[in-house]
Amino acid sequence: MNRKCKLNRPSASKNTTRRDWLRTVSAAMAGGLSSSWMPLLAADAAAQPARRHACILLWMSGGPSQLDTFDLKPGHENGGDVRAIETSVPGIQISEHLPQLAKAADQLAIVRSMNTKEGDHSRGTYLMRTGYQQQGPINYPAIGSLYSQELSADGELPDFISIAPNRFLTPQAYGPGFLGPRHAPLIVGEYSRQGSPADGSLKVANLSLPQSVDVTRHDTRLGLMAGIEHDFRETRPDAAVQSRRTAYEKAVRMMRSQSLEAFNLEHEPPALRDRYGRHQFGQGCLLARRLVERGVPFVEVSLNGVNNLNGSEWDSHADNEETVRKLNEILDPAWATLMADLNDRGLLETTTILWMGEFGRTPKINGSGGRDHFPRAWSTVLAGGGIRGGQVIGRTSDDGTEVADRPVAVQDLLATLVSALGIDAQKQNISNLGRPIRIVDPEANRIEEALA
Amino acid sequence: MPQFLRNAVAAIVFNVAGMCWFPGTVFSDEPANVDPGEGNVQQSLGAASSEIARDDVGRLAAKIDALILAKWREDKVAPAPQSDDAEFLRRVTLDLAGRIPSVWEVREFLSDDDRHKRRKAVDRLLNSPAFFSHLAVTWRTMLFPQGGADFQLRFAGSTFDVWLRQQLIENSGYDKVVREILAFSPNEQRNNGGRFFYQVHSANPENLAAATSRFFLGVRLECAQCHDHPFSHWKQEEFWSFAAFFAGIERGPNGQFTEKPGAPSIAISGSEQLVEARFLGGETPKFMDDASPRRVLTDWITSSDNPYFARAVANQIWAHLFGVGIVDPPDDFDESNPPSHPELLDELAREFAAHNFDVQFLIRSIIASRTYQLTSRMTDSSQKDPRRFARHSARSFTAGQLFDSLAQAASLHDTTSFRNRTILLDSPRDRFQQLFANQSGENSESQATILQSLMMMNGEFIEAATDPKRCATLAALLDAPFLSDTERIETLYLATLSRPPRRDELDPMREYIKSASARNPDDEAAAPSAYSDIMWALLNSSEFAVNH
Repeated sequence: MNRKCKLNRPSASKNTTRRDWLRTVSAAMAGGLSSSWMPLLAADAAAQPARRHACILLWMSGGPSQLDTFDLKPGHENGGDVRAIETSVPGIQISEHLPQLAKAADQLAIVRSMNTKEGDHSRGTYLMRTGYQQQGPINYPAIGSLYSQELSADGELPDFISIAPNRFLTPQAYGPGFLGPRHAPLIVGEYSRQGSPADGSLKVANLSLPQSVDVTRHDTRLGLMAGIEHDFRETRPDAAVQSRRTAYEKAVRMMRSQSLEAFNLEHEPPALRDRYGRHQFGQGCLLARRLVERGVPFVEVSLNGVNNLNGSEWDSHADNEETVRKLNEILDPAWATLMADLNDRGLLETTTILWMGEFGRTPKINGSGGRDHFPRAWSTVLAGGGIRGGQVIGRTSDDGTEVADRPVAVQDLLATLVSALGIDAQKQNISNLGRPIRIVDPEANRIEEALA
Repeated sequence: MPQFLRNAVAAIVFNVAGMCWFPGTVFSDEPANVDPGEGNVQQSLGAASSEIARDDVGRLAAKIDALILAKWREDKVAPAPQSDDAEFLRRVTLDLAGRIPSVWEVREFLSDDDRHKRRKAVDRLLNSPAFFSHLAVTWRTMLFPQGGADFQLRFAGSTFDVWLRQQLIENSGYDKVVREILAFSPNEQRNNGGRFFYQVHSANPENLAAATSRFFLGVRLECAQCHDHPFSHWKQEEFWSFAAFFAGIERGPNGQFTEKPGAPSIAISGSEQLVEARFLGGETPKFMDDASPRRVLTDWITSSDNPYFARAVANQIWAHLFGVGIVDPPDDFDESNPPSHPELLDELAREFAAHNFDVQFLIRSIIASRTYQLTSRMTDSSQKDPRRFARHSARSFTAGQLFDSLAQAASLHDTTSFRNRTILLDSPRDRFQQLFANQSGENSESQATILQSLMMMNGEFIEAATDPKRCATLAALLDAPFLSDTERIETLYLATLSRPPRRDELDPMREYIKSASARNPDDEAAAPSAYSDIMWALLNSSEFAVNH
């Protein structure tokens, strides 16, 4: 595939090689090496890049019930016992278990007419998270990888950060696909254990040095490494070799960056942390705000479960009402506080929020008091920057089984999001099969009325 | 140091490694799939493979070199010189066994003065269990590029690996392996690779046709699924008449396969038009009473005059060994994507077919060529374009190569968690796969990432691999009192970079160890820490992490 590889070859001449290395190593031995290894570190902290749009994806693992969140059917047998409550926008009603969001309904564009074609967790997750059906050998990137590449301002932190994902069934729906590993998400909070402190797990893996290694020793090691690979790197122009230096420089830059502060949630006022909710998801939303604040363009936070943080508890095949109520009680304060907090800091108008799972749930309640997988008519929500809130888009039939008005396909939803984010929808990337693929399918129809 | 001591030290490193880590041994948690072991492999290979006329290998190797040379002349290319022994052994071990060579293997090879030692090394590797494991995993990755995204692959992919590996051991002819996969019949009760292939594609004719044409014929027919192919001559109708071969197999509600009798035909998606099965190129098949359409298709694919099959597979093997195909991407044969060396590809395909699709014959011949054995060091700017094959490309390790090479270099002890090549969730290997797996399967394109760098610098695996107590390589070196610093440093280079250090590398390293001890004369850990630093630096260097 690499017919024309671009090279970034350092221009140091042969003669300086050995001298440099000896200097590096002796400096290392004296315990004083630091910036000589990487010009990037020294030239760091140049101008803060201009702030662009950011996106926060709130991912509901397992497929949330639209009938118990944003598209209630009061009075119909399919509606169950959940009550609908009025919101701050006359005429819009949502679940009684989302009281804070009801007050913030003027920010929300509720899409009640999602119509998709995958009712299997793995395939549905792939579809919603990449925008494409999993078919054949094309490896589509997760939208986080795709959009963050467009929104990147080349900051100290990675462009795509995924908080507490449950990748168990569909790891590829969380990956960079044909964009390549450079666009993979930085993942925090995966494999959390029940009972661990809510935010204890929200740290970046491998970011801190092992206990036996301090910064000085790390510098020494980097110096030794530079010496060992110098000749090899100078004489191998291949991308596999050349891309490593950039990756190491960026990694070290991040390890020593002030921006890592973002992960220290202890620095937030306890009262604010309480408002978000002392659950992994609540604290994850708080972390998302701190990351967006520091220029990270795409952050996703997964709500996987109340008890099992690695689960898919929205998958309410049994005991749906109770299951969804508990999840709503976590979702509601976290999401509402996130919007308020972003707004207080003047960030909401440049931060677009998308709430969704892999599909909705069957309107008919099954014998176990549960709801099963249902991609035919379900809900997602857009909010924040670029979105005109305070409205409902589309409508389902009275029994909830069909889209009655304005069906929205996954590409339509994503085209809308991309517009809100100010990304050029027609830009092309080359897939792993050498075929150009646009950011959004050219045949998609964005939801014009949802855009501000 | 006297020779016997040298040997003793080599034995230390070798034994430790040998006891706890067998990179070639896979799937060890499933008793039914226990590795057949060295003896078994040789037995089943029989004499046939080793008795291939050396002459034929030599002839094809010479032909490869002549055709490559002709193009160099035409393009005014000055090729790189031949690789030295260490570079050759490292490359060939990574290509064939999927890991770097052990210290022991490097020492043996470097001190061997047999002038046929390169050939002997290839023979040894081709007969090792690791070769078949590596080849099976490599081919499964190409056959199912969707990788871990697919639920069935993620959980049952290793079963397919085991099956494919056994096929590769038992069948020297690759056409037979292909037949086992494609000509699957629902009546077969065996849980073979064919069943898996049809399961992963949900018995869907379109997906089966796309996968078959891409992998076995090198043609990306699927682009013609929805409309006529924009860049090549494939028409939508051709795609669907190829897909019709797979229309006879259906999946019942419980996942069981059934055969639908009658001549196969299929409706073009979104239309009423029914098309009948046809081979690529338009030829109409003859269906006999008892042969399934898939059987008929397989016969056509694997016949020696099929214009696609031998070229596609020969090109895949070439790409595996060079990192770049003669047609590249290797699965995109098309007028708009011509081969860099058309005559060479024809020759490889012809010889491959003439030798009954013997994969080992082709591998042997390519490796025997001067072209394969060039160094990766660029000595002239005319060598830059990898498609001229004027120097060997340096390629990122696959996730598996990296994991197994790290374990090999450090001789890590923890056999229970590190030995398995199957996909285990949250195992160290799985975490490696997720961070390093090159999803597109195209090594040459892969770029290093920040997360990978963090893991290589600070991860628990590297911490263990550089810990003087837990890393058996370091422990063995430090515990041997009769070793000099020079010998220790040399062994670390052999264990990681698979070559001895150059003079200009040795001096500063020795200096570094000496001064670390001198600065902390009372600290017994000073020297071990300094060695740990060197080990860390070696494992993090570009030279370690690429196949070159």
